[in-house]
Amino acid sequence: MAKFGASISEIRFVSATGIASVCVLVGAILLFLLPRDDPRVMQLRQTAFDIFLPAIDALGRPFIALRDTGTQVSQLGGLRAENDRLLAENEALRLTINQMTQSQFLMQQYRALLDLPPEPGIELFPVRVVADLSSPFVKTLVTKGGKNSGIETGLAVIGTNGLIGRVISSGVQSARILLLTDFNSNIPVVALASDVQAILSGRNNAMPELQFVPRKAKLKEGDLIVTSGRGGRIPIGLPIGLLRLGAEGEPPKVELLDDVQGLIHVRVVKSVAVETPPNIETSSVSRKAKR
Amino acid sequence: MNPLRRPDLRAADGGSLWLVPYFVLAGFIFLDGLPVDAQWVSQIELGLFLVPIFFIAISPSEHDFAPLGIIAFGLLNDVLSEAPLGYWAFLFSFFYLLAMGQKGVLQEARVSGVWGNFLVAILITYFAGYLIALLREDMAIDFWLYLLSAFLTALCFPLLYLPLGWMENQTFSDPLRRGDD
Repeated sequence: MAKFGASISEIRFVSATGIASVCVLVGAILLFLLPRDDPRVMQLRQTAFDIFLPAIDALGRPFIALRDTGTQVSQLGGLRAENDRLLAENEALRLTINQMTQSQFLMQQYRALLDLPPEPGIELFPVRVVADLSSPFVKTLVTKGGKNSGIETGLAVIGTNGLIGRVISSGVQSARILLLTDFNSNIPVVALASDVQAILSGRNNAMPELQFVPRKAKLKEGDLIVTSGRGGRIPIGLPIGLLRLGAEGEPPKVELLDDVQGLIHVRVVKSVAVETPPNIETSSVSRKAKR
Repeated sequence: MNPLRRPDLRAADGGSLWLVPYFVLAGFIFLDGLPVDAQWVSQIELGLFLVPIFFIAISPSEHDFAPLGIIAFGLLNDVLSEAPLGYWAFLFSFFYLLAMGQKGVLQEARVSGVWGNFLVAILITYFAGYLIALLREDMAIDFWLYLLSAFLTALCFPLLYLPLGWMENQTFSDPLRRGDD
């Protein structure tokens, strides 16, 4: 009887090992057959986030509340110093507003002289971050609010001070944001003072790099990097970070204006899309038709 | 009388207590995306979900569908952690297989022996993860940070393993739950 029991146990162990081996094989096949940006995989991820969002949100809330309480308690000691700093900053900002009003007036005059079309308007709406999927190989955020909040794929997302990423997929009640620091993030940018266009590429660390910089370009340390608006979805002139030139031969890096770690609220930038110019073939056909 | 306290209503292998490691595993997968405002935390990949997998693999209670559950959780982690589909599914199953191979040795081992085995298994698994990343264009992993992640996970091992082990000891010390006559 005992012998029979032992043989059953052995058979079960062997079968479990067999199943586990098949699972390893299935995992390997999936891994090497499906690319990460496969549309079906993207759709699957988005659907999963829509389904599991309430669970992730509910599990994360106590930890976030605990963290916020800790931060508030640690900040209590420095309230007076913080107040003094804010008063000084407020004074400086008032001066900047005066200068900006003057610049805005001049800009309106120049635009009227050049008969330029109006720039598309920008609408900002805040969303809450429920998951920060930052790991050594991926840098993304998941927000509570998707198509139901008007968030669409491709929209820019800003933090407190500047651009932090863009929406890569939007579900019914959640959206996924690819951070500028992610390995797969590539954003067209321009260095403001040196007027050099480049591509800002994430490297899975805190400082993304500038790629495709023209050879003869003269970049300046500390130059403000802003979006160039190429591609049409991300508005022009959104601040991103400050240029940090490294050693000779190393690509220049950008120190982001916002700390992308531990963000609780972000703002999605919705701009009126630029009208696509008419197709050349279509226009030539229509021209022939007119003749 | 609470029906859950009645020994005649308990299953031979400890009722639904065997599900606890699976719930812990699911909990760690969901909590993996918790927004943390420390840069160093995002640089490391703490694999706390590997502790319940290790526990399931070396547990005396045998469930043939356990590898299927493990791969399902691996796929869920792939989807929720934005890793390439199959990455964690492969590593979870691989780690489960490694741990299950040690099952016979670990039945009589002390906690320190189990801990040492876990460290070796996790180092091999993380190294496999690093090799996969080398073969893929869309993944960039810093070897030393990954190694550090494996060591940190191993450091946290007793914090999870001991409560789970205590729970299982309670289950299997009861002759009725063990299925003895």
